[in-house]
Amino acid sequence: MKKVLISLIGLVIIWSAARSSILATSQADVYYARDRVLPALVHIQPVVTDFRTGREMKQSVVGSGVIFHDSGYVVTNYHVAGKAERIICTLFDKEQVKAELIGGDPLTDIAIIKLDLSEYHGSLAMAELGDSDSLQVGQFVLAMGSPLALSRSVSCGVVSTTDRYFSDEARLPSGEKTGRYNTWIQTDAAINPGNSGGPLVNLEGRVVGINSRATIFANNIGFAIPINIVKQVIEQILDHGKVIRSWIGVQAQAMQDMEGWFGTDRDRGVLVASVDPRSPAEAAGLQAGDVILKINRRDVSARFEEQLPYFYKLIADYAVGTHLDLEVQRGENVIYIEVITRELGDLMGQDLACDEWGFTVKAITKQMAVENQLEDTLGVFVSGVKRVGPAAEGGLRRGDVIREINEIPTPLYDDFYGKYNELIAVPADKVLLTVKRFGNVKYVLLKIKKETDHSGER
Amino acid sequence: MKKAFLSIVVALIITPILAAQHFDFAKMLKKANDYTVVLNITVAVSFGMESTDFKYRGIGTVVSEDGLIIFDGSTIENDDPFSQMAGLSVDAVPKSIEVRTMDGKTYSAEFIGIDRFTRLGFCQMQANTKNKFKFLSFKSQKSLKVGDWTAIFALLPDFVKPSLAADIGMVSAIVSEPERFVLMVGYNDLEIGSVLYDSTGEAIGILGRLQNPANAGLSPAQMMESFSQVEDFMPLLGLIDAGKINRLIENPPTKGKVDRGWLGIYLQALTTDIAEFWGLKLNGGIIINEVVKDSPADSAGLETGDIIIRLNGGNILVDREENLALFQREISESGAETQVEFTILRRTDGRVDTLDIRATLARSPLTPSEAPDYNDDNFDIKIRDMVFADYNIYNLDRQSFKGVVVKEVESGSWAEVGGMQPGDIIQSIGSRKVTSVDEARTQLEKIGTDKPREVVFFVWRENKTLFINIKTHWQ
Repeated sequence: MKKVLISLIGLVIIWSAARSSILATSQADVYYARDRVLPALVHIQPVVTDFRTGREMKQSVVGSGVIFHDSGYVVTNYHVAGKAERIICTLFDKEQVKAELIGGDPLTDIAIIKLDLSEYHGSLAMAELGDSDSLQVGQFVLAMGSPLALSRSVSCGVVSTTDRYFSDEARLPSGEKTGRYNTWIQTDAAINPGNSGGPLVNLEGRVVGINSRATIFANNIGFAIPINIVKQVIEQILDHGKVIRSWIGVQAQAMQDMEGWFGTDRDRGVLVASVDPRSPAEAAGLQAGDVILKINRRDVSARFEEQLPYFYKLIADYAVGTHLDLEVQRGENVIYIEVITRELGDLMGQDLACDEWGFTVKAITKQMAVENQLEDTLGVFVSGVKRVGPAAEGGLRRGDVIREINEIPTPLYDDFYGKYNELIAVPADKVLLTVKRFGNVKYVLLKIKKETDHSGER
Repeated sequence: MKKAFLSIVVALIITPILAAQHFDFAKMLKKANDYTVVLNITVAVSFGMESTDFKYRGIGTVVSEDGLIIFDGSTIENDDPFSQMAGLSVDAVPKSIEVRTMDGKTYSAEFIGIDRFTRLGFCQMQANTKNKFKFLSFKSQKSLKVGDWTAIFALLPDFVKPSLAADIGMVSAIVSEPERFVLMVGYNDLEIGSVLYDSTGEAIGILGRLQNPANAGLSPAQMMESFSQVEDFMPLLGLIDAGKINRLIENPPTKGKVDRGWLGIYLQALTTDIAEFWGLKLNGGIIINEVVKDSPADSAGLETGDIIIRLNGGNILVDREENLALFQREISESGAETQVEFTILRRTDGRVDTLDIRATLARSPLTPSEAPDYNDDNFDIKIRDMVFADYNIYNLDRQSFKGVVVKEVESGSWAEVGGMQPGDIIQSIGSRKVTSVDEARTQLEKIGTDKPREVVFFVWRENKTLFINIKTHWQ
């Protein structure tokens, strides 16, 4: 909290100072920034897979990215390339090269791809990543990318807000929740679909954010992920192929005006609104209504919702398995609780399209179980049912959890995968699925018509 | 309405030609004028934040000396399963009922409830003195056959005097599936609720509608299982018979009190495909998908996976989900405390055992719209008790999870500004846990006296809990 307060005061001082620098800004500054970053801009055309209609569907999309490393690493959005099967990139000199997905992080909506430079003969430009913490409201910024697939476009505006908060209930097109661990830079530099993944650049010619969201019903309201967050994500993806986060399963809530009620001091403590079932926090005995005052002797506070991402990130940044000593105010008492963090893990499990049976499934991860109120992670989650097919006719629904095939338990994804392959090889003409729906068992009989097996749409 | 009016006029014209000699309309009308009333019902319909009043005018019949009235409840009731499933509250509540007799006297009446199967509504006249009302008694007529004529008195529009007009209709079919029902032609939807007379002038029942079993008598949760069904468009009008009506008159469907039988299972139809897959030679049955803990089914020893093939000696031929309602209805209509007998098949390791099981039905849990509720005028919220369906829909633990459901949050209210939403389940208000509307009411009334500057509510919403700080602005 202290930190944020200071930066708010800082803003006011700098704002008055900034007026003179607005006047001092010249066309030359914009050219300078342009020349430092634009050559590193990449137009990205991935083919992504989507399983939500009950089958595997491939779709070509367009986004943007920026080269940040001379061996050809490009940062972009997860919602652009995170589910890419293959990627074609167009560089600033209009040359096309292939790229491969290195890794992605849906929670911050960041993905890293690597250009295949084996057949590229140009000279690779690369942008410098700046510092987003020093951004000021009103500061000039440029957005670069391919709005509506119009590549190599530059727009200009100012930083409208440095720490816009969004509820972490927002979802990416692929279904994952996003945004819990960061706030956003808001800008009035024009950002449109296709700008996604492109750089937001300050007049020093450094990348300060990755453009990722726009409001479709408004003009000049676009959002970028602060580059300081992105830098950490890049580091983790390059090291591990993904971002590893610690998780304790606490849902926090901004304390705003409830200090009196909870008997805490202003700007002190983070209110626990909810504790996830089967989480480390639950195991340690943390309860809704507890106020976490300190984590490993470090003061924590979330009086305003803009502070929540910092709290979540603080926990996430500890190594998995760390013993956290929480100082907690519960009612009138201060108690101490030790929580051992676990890995947050994947938001969603592996996808499988069961084309012969007309539906798609996902392996169930811890986070999916929490979110969908499943009592465990056993079975596979039906992520889509094809409108016409054996599953639709048998009454299978999206959200069902398949626990058995022909009354043989398939607790793990691999069990399901094995049994599925075994039965489509026969091929079985009738298959009985035992599913859980709203906590109740349902039997779903699939009648597989052989003649339609290979005439299905593609 | 115009259409209905036209058809009534047509009926008036053709009546003498076709069947006048069978009915003594003058005598029937004289009697009908004694116990037929016009109901002017004001219904408050609320959808989430919005609330509007609707006026509904309809025909009613006095059926007891102390002023019990039956009428067509389908117009005002609300059993919208989708909104209830979604935790939204769409609610149609009769706010006031004015009763006008044929000789021009008016009374106010109190709404009692609506029967879920016949859709008959019940209300009770409030008379200042110990009035004794003239009332109608129904007589069973078992010998109706196709081609028999029946008559009714339908209610004419408000601007026409006098209010009643005769109409006739013919028995067109006596159907046996999905239940025994005497179908009639010649009547229309707007005449539902009128008393039906046979050719001797005897009142044999009320004009009603044959319900699609896929929609009748289901709880919202069960309804969801069949919401892929397309509504029947053919109006199936006919006789709600005297026997059914008399049973209901004896035991009207009081809001908040129900006597429907309940077994406590989740069920699925045994399709012929599944039967064949399991090697069972059956043309239908009920698969028990889950047995509610401590329910009659649980006490009787029914288990998940059991297949019910006989109920009270009759074979169960449920082979489609749509027909589950027939079974549910039979259980429901049997009433609480009734003993029922099942024959079940139990599959264990490839072996199939046939077992006879007896269960004593319990009282059916309340539906969300039947649950006791309370309106708080300070926070402008309406809350209700949690019911079985809430636990079922949200997969909540019945033993440990307690609270009250927010039915309505008025637009611009303190509660809305504070962030409360319909569907929230309030678990505590201030420092007090609330497990029922009564407790919540006590607490809210205390707050109304204490007038604190703000009140912190602890609520459950979409699998998570949160605190809602509501700022108050006392006058």
